[in-house]
Amino acid sequence: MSVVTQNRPPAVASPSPKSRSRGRRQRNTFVAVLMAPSAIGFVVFFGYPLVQTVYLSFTHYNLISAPTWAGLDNFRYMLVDAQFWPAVRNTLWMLAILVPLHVGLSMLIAVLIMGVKRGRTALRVVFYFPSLVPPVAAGLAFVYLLNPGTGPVNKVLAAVGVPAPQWFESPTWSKPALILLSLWGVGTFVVIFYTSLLDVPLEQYEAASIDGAGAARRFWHITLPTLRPVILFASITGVIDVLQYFAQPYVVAQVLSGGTATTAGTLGYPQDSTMFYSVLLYKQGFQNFNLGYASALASLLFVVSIAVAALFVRRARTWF
Amino acid sequence: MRSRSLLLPAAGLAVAVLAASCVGAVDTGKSSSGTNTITVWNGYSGRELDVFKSVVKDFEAANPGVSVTVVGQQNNDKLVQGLRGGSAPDVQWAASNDYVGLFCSSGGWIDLTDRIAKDGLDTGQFTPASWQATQYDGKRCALPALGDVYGLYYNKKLFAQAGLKTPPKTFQQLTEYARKLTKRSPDGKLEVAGYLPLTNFYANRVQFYAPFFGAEWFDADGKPATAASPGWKAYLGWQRDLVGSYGYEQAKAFTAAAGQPYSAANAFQQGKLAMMIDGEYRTAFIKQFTPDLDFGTAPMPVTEQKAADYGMGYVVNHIAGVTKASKNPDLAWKLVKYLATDEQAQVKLGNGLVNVPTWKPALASKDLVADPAFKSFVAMQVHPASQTNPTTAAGAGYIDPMSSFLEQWESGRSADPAAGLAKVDEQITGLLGQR
Repeated sequence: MSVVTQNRPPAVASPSPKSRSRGRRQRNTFVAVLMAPSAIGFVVFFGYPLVQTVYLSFTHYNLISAPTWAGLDNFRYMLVDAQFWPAVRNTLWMLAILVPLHVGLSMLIAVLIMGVKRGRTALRVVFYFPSLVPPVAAGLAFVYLLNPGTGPVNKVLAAVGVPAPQWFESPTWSKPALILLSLWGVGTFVVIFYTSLLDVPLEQYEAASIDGAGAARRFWHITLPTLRPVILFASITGVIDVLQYFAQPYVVAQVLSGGTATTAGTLGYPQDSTMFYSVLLYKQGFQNFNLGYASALASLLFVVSIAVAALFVRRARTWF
Repeated sequence: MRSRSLLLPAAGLAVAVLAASCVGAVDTGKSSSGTNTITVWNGYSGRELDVFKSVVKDFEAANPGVSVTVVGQQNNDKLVQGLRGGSAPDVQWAASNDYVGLFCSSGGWIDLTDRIAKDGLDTGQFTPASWQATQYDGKRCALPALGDVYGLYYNKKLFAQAGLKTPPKTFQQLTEYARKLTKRSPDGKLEVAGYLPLTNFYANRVQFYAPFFGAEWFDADGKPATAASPGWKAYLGWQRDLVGSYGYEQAKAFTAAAGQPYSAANAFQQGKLAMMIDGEYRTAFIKQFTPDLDFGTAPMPVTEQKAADYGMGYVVNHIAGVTKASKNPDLAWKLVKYLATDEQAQVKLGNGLVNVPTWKPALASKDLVADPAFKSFVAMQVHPASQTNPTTAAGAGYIDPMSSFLEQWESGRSADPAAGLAKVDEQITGLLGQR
């Protein structure tokens, strides 16, 4: 039995535990300083308002006097508030109709643009441009376009013999009119879907064609799986956008319900058909100065938004 | 452990900054510590703000050494935000009395009762409707400073064509006149509407109509009482009857096509609406946009039961108060008193802003605009039966349930007035319980 002796390289002197911990502290401090702006922003602009909103939701608060503890009063009031259920119903209606239409239409337009041989860039610009228009301006434009008496849309409909709706003036047609307004601005998602479609390898389409797959099957088996992440993203943001749907219905109701020199227009006009959850929240908080109740509405909206987002993320594989 | 050691300093920094952010407040014309310097906020802009500033200049001239900073474009929302933060001015001027209850009950505006008594202010010189609108729950925390008075506008040319000579004095007459004045095209569309009482069309606000029908919002105990008030049933019946005579869809089509209220395209100014309810400020719009319009103004009609009150108007008051944040409440009060009770200041504001003064000597002044159309509103302003809406701690939010119900009522979606009004009362009760 021979003894093998290994020639080890001379050991490097390891730092003492003291200097090691000092170095770690310095590094941690450096990292903390780098993180601080983001952490401060999060605490100041998200954490603090969130905590404050939850607290205020259990109080009666008119923005001037100190808040007074109200327990669950605000949440109970939701059950009897005449505009709460219309706001919930209208918001759910919008979720059910607008989100699928928004996702479907933007995907369809993107696919159609992909199929065009020439002028893709121009088409992308044409479809993207409306999404740059501020919601207030877009709302005002559609109020003009869809004016039942003087708007060009109804004039065209009348010319071709189609019965012209009252659009924003009718509780039946006001939400479909808002849908039209929203779909006009699908450009952002058209561009996102379009760029995703560019990632689909052409060889796959060619192989599928050789195997005899038609356009529908190619779309179903090649295009759609590629677009799944974008569909998920568009659906989640679409749902959250609808839960926060405010600017367009606010503008439309304010403009159409008139108002006097001293009296604001009527939000929800006509007949609460454009009263959405966020509009009600604004009205209670900043028209009625009932901020305790508005905070309760906001807290509920936050919980629902988180729940919906979590549900989408967890079920994404099954659904998309 | 490691991540915690990272987070602690960051969290510490964040908390420190947060604490610091709660200490400082942005100063936008807050109460001045200078003994002779005060700040006043109002909602005016442009030409109207210049009118207000010129009246404040007169105050400064009458009080040498005093300096007043005027900040315009402050709506109710900003007034409330100002009271909440550290940026409240010494004096606030609100363009409606809707929030008197909120300002008084919250202590945002100080109680002026003692100062009024100490200065021996003759409160009988304020018009009744304006005086009614500046107190809440025993606290007088504002003075009325101007008024928007609502009455009837009628097109004299269309009246002559229909063989009508004088404005209607009862709602029954108004309906008869409206039917005579209405013109339709061969295909049945409304070309000229006699009078269109659809809720929220132009100045058709439910609270404006309530006094003319004797419709009460609350009982003597302050409890919602619309279902028990015969005035509301009378209003509902009259309104649906007249809307029904046009056909609801036809009426909606007409209002949808009508021009913007504050433009030359206003349907009354275009001769497409023979009569309408509106404020005195409309006279200025007519002068500006359609000076050739042959029109007259008169008090709104009343129900036959209220015939003795004919001549009354509905008044929205502009109000002024001293905020709790004022570091110089004596001088602030002096300015409020000047704006509300100095005859020349009131006249200058009335003429310049085309609003109706609330101080009787100013209303009687020879310097007040002598335009006959405007004079009708002056007469309504001093009428003892003129009214505004009740003040509550919830502001004017109690009007919303009634407005919503009326939209459904006039469209035929709601057919039971008693049940509808009972629900309105229930909703108002819930709203007031939120305070």
